[in-house]
Amino acid sequence: MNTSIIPAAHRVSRIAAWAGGGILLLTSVLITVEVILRKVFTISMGGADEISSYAMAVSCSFGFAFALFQKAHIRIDVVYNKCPRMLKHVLDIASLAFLGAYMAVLSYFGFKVFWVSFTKGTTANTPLHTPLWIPQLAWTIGLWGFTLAIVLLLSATLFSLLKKDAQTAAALAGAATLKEEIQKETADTSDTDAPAPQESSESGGTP
Amino acid sequence: MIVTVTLGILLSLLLLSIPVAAALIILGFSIGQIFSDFPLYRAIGEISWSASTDFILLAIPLFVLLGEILLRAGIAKRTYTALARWLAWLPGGLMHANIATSAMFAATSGSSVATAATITTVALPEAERYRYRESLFAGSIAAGGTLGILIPPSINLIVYGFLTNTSIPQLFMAGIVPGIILTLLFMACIFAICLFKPEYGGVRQEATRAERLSSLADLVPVLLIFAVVIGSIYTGIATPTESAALGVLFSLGLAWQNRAVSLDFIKQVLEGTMRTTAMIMLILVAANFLNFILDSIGLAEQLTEFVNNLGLSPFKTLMVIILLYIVLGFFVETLSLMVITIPIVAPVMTGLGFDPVWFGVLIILLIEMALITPPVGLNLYVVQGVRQRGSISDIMKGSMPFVGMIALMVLLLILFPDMALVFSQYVD
Repeated sequence: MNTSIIPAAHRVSRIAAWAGGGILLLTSVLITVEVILRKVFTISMGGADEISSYAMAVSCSFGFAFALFQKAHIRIDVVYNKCPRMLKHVLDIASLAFLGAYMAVLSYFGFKVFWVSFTKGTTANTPLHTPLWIPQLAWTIGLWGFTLAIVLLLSATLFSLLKKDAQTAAALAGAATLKEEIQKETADTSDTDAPAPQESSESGGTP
Repeated sequence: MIVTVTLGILLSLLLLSIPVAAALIILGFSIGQIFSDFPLYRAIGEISWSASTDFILLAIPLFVLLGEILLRAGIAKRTYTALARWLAWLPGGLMHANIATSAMFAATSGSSVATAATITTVALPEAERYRYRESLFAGSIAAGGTLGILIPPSINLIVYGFLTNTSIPQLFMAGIVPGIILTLLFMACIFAICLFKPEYGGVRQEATRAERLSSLADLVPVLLIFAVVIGSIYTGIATPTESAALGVLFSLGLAWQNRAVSLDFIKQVLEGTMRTTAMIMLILVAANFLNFILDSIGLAEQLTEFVNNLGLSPFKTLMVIILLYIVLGFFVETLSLMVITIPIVAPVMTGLGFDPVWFGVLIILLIEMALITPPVGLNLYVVQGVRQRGSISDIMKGSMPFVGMIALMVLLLILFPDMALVFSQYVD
């Protein structure tokens, strides 16, 4: 085991997040078409809301791991920030362990939800009669992927602590600093000729 | 008894910086084990699946997506410049533009962090250039950022609606009037301060009539999106989720027209959206399961009975609740505060005869206050994080007048409940 697996896992989770986000964009298109057809042509395709609901479940479960590597899952850090370094490591490990335990349970029961639908051939109680196992399988895969990501991150953190590499451990599992968060929020990709009030306002003074 | 155990477990987990979603689930499992004879935890798969596929909740990722598109397409900057041309002549100058831009962005996206961070980036260099008193200037940005959760579309209102089974169109409509009044109160406050203490304002700038008129075009996009999103809900053409989808495509069109759309732009927008969405949904799925457990053991009934036995009048109970939120708001992050308290508090208050829509708006106002009260006021830190000089206590001081304005707004809402209910009665 070494920690170089984490950047690789981060890359994979990023691709999953693009997929999840892409699903959301497609969902918007689907819903918009449905609304226009319904209001302008009074035709109903039916089922757009149902498909979109499945899409949301899949999209979110695909995004969980990415949010983990980006340290987006909220931790309350009032006490954390005042702790000595050693205790912070303990809290980081406990956080990952608890989150991992939750996700392991959810993934297990999520799989059971899929399995029951699959073996019983359950279909949705809607005009579409969607075989429920299809979206549930994708959802479960996302959950298991998230669980795996937590396990990897936890192992890598423990590993670097064993090697007495406290810095890497803190970088891997420490709570997000506000600076990192703001950097992500204000990343601006616009290359327009917008009349920016002043040139130096571009990147929020981030170094 | 249950309440003490619940609060004990929850507070210790949260203070240990355990991720909020995990803390809620651990609490759910423990409560289920202690107070119920059934293995309630076995239902977690089904319950999480049904929350994950709730069509109403889909509005959250879509509104996040909408906001990301607008912010990263540089539309915030254009809006700010345009509003500055219209408002900078007033006593208080650019600070009015801070508030107004925040309010307009509030009207299109629900994220206060993103709004506050973006506006700080655009506005703060101006404060230095025109020699504004930085504390009040920064305070106005932090306070302006809180408007996003009150003026619809608001993710926090959706969360409230989801947790309490309250109509989201009604909540959205209920947020409009208080949102506008609070915006005006913020501006009036700046106006008054700078009238009596001109040193707080900076060098006054006047824009020419031509400049003003040409800047109007930059205000159109944001207003159009607001019209599409809120108009489609108000007229009943679309549900909140559908209106969010319309808004996403519309804003993507605007970004395209702004020549902002590129592969890199899309990637950043999707990543930003997923980061926020995954964070919110993990908490909501967990909160939903905790709700199921609390329902199963009948906590809400017990609490309602407990409150009734206290013999407090509804009004006194309301005061206690408000005080509770103000105090908790000092210390607890706002989304966590909402998912933890609302399922418990809202049924009690509705049981006492308060209107659930009105109470939702009241809660949101208190949450806004929590966003700018130290020591844990997220917006204060966001502004300071972008500013990166001086001390955060400057910003805390600068926000104080606005905390006062929110308190005034809470009072107004209690005295004139119709402010929230005037529009909401026309939608389902």
